[in-house]
Parts: sequence; structure tokens; C-alpha cells
Amino acid sequence: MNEQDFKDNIEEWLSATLDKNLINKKGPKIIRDPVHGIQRFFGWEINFLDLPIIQRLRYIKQNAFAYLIYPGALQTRFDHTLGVSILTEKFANILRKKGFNDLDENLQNNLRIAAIFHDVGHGPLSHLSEEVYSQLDVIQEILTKPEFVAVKQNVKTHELLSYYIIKSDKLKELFQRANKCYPKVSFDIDLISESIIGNVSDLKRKYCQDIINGSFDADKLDYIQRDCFFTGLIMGVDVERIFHAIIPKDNGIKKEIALDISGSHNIEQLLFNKLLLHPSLYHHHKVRACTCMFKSIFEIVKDKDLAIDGKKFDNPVDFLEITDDFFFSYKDKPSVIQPHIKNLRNRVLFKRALVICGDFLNPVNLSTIKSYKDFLKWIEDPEKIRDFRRLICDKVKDITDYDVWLDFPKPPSLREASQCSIQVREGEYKTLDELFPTSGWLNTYLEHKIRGYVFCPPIKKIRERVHEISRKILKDDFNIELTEDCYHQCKIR
Amino acid sequence: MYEISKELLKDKEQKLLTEQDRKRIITSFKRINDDDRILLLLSHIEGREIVASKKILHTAFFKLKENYSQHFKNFYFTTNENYPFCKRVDDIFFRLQNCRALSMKNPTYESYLISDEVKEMIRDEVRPKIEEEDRNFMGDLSGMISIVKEFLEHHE
Repeated sequence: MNEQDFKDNIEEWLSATLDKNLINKKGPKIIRDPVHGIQRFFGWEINFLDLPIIQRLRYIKQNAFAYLIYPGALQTRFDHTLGVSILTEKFANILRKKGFNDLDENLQNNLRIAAIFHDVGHGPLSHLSEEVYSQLDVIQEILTKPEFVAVKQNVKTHELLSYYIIKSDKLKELFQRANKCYPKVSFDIDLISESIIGNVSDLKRKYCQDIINGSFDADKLDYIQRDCFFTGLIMGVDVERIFHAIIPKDNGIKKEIALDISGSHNIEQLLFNKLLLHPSLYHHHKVRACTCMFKSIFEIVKDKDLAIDGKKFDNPVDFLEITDDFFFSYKDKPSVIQPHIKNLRNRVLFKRALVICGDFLNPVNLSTIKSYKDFLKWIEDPEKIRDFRRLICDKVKDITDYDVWLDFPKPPSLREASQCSIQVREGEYKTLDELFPTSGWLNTYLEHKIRGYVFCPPIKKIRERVHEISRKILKDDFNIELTEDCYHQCKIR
Repeated sequence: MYEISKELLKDKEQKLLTEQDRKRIITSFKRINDDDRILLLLSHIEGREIVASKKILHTAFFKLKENYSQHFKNFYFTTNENYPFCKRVDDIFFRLQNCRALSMKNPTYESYLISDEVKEMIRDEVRPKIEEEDRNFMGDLSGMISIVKEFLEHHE
């Protein structure tokens, strides 16, 4: 599949899902959001929110299977979309008040549309399925295109899908229809799509990108608050204070958002909480176990060349056609994946059989350092992880390589600290990391907190055996010896 | 109770790894990679401490790519921000830190430390492998070292 096939598939999906008659005159609505309170949405926004491709976000959980660990974490991508739209409006109002006069009502409306569409490219279970489809060849090919290479470090695969959805002919048709129904709103598809991937070409409008995909954008301000609210994790983000500190920065070439120094510690709080959410939520061992179990299902589909409802999941659009509920009916699925779906559905999850961390190296000598260095690089390749799993499962009776996983979550980033411009005095700016050593937090975290896991079925005998075998393989074949902590932290009882 | 697919278990019995498969897997992990090359470069910095903020570090690698693009083909830089940024550089430093080849200086955790022992290990084990597998890199090494040194000293 090449980029053109991919585009055609998106058009096909959208044509089957959307009809231009879906856009018609509608009145405004008042929506109550649990995080941000009451907000008015205009008629034209309701039209877009009512589109089936946006409504499907109601059936995609924001934090995938995190609700199996935090029962309250049932928030969806749709709730989050509303939240981002609400905060985008606040951002725009403040910037206009503070002197960005070209941020008129029309531009503000376009930013709200960008907020509504920013997550439209998410597949089932949000970032979980993204870990699967981002490995597909067509995605890797698109990411090497010159227009994406410049932003390759930032652009996430679901944002890329949102970008292509908005740029599609079908969406153009809908926007044209909306222009006719609501003549006061003029939709700028390029600005909307570029804001979403964080690459606005007109530098005079860089602040649009800052609001939708920037260092302290509406997305981040919403998801950190929302994830804490629904999981019950006690962390705060002082959004109102951040808004008070926002200032427009215009050097004649580029117009962007900066922050007065009085609000810098509120951004530090935001970033610190983002970091803390990793061990508590995003990298929680149970959340990672669910991720691995989910990935196993797609490995089986691929290995066995299966099709489910005609989908082989070798195309990113296959993921757009389904939502979370797809994984909770197992009787209609091929028998070979039924047990895997059942395990997830019944919350019979993988457990830890080995915990791997630099602090557990035994002994820390040059030979171990060298081997561990090679190992960390080696497992960058998903195929090598598969090989490692094969080595383990070969020696353990009654499990397959789909039942054992080696998982090293991607390290978090606090890159925002070097992107966030702080005004230290009139007209003089520094980045947040020049003012405060935020990279020190990240480095400490990376050195001591990040963990890799070997997961396996939650059966004591199997866990003991997988522990013994994986530890032996690491020692004998990879020259990596671990201390007893690698066992104790598994809590095998 | 955790359920295991009987069908997949049957498959497993027929597809057990051969000794050759095992060898292929284990030997594939010892190939020279970008992490080794970067470590070799860093080992030539005098002293134990590498004082480099993210800005300095990424900009130094950007300069390296400008001058020696053939060795940094997979290093993509974003150039529309405060400094040229490459995620690959961050990933490499994370791994080197995680395996304890580099450590962070307490209490700020802002500069990297590379011990004499690690430098020795690089000289004795990493360097000979690169010499064997990547002669082009070795040919350009002294030029690259002087860029890194100049850059780090100038921006200290």
C-alpha cells in the first residue's frame, strides 16, 4: 500500500460514513462538562460534533484499558474533544484581549474546528491501537515525506490520520456545505490541518499551532486535568493562572504565545504532573500488561492472515472503522483469538515475571554496562522483542509467544520546557528550561524510575518459570545479570 | 482463569526454535549501532564531565549532521523551534544513561558524567568493533571530535 492507496481508503471510508446532508441549520447547545463546567456550542459546531466520525469518539476511551486499574477512568475521546474546544475558546479570547487583533471571530471558529477534529484520527483504545498501526509500512513511508520529516519528531500517527481526514475531498465537501449554511464562518482547511500536526506554514499564525499542538496547548491542559479527575489521582493544573500569564509574542516575523515569568511555576507544575502521570497511569505495569495483551491479538491476526469483518488490520483505515466495543464481543471472532479477547474482557491480565531496570544491574561493571547498552538498543526493533519472547516461550510449557511479552515503554519527554517561551522582562525571553532545570527531573526519572517488564499469564507456576527462564537467558545469552529486586518487584505470591 | 489458545499451543510444538535460530537471535544483538558511535565520540571529550544542556547537545549534533551527513542519515532535525531538535539524539542519550554508560551529576542532573573506566571500555571494546565494521566513520572521527569539542567548550 502506498500513500495514494491510503488516501483512497480514507475517502472510501468517509464516503461510506458521511453524507453532505448531515450538515444543515442547527441551533446552539449548552453542554455541561465535568471538568470545565458549562459551555455554549454554536450551531455550526453542533453540526460537526454530530458527524458520525466525531460521534465515534464517544466509544473510544481516553486511557484505553486504564479503567481496569482505575475504575473511574471511563472518560472518552469525545469528552476530551469538547474540553479542548472549550479551552481553545478561552485561549483565543485571552490572546485577542492581549493584543492579537488578527485573531478575529472567524479565526477563532477555525481553531475550535481544529479542536473538534484534532483526535478524529484515533483508533480503538486511543494510543493503544496507535502502537499497532504506527508500525505499518504505509505510515513509515508517509513520515519520510519532506513535509513531515521536519516535524517527524513531534507528529503522532493519530494526528497524521486526522490531517489526512481533514484534507480529504469528502471533508472539503462538508466544509463547503457548512459555509453555505453558515455564511459568517469561512473554513480554512489548511490552517486547521496544519494546526493539528503542529506545523503551521504561515509564521504570523504560529500561535494557532501553539493553541492546538504546542508546549502548553489546549490538548495538554485538558488531558492532564481530565485524566487526574477521572482516575482520582491527586494532581492539579492551575489553568486559570496559566491563562492570566499568557502574553502574545510578535517579533515581526513570527507571532506566537509566550508566558509571563509570573506563570512559569504553573507550567512547571503542569510538566511535573505530566511526568508523574507516567508511573501512576500511562506506564503503570497493569496498563502496560493490557497493552501487550492487545498487541498479541493483532500479532495473531497478522501471523494467521485472519480477517475480522473483512478487515486484516494491515491498513490504518481498518482501525478507524472500529471502536473499543469491537474487542468485547468474542463469539463472532476467529476461534484462535477468542481466548485472548476473553482474558481482557474478564480482566484476567498478564502479570509481571521480571522487572528490568538499570538500578538492578548486578554487578555494575563494564561488561554489564556494555551488554545492557547493546540490549536496550537491540529491543528498539519490535522483531527483536518477538525473538526474545520466542526464546522464553520455547522453554516454558503451556504458553505460546503470544502469552509472554517483553515491554519497555517509551520514555516520557519534557520537550515542552525547551519550547515554552517565558518573558523575563519586557521584550526579553528565555525558554523554561533555561530558567529552571526541568531536564533534571526527566533525567532523574529516566535513570531511576523507568522500568521494563517481562509479562506472562497470571499463574504462579508459569510466572516462576518465566522469571527463571528470562533471567537465565539475560544472564547466559546477553550477559546481563540482575539483582533479586527483579524478582521481588514482581510480587509473585 | 487465564485461557490459552489450544490451536496456538499446537502450532508452537511444530515451530520450536532450532539451535541455529537461537544463535541467529543472540548474535544479532551485538552489532555496532549509533549508540556505540556516539559513545565513541563522547569518550574523546576531556575530563569526566560533559556539560551540555539539551540545546547545546542537539545543536552540536545538528552541526555534525551538517558536516558529516553520511553518518547521521537517520537523525531528523526539527529546525523551526528554539534550537534544532532530534528525537534520536534524546533516545540515544536515554539508553546510554539507562545502561549506566553515562551518569548524571548530582544534584542538578543536568550534566553527563563519563567515567575513566567506561572510556577504557570504549577504547578496548567498542572502538575495535567500529574499526572493523565502519571504517568510514573512523576516517571522519577526528573531524567530528573537533566539532563536538569546539562546540561544547565554546558553549560552556
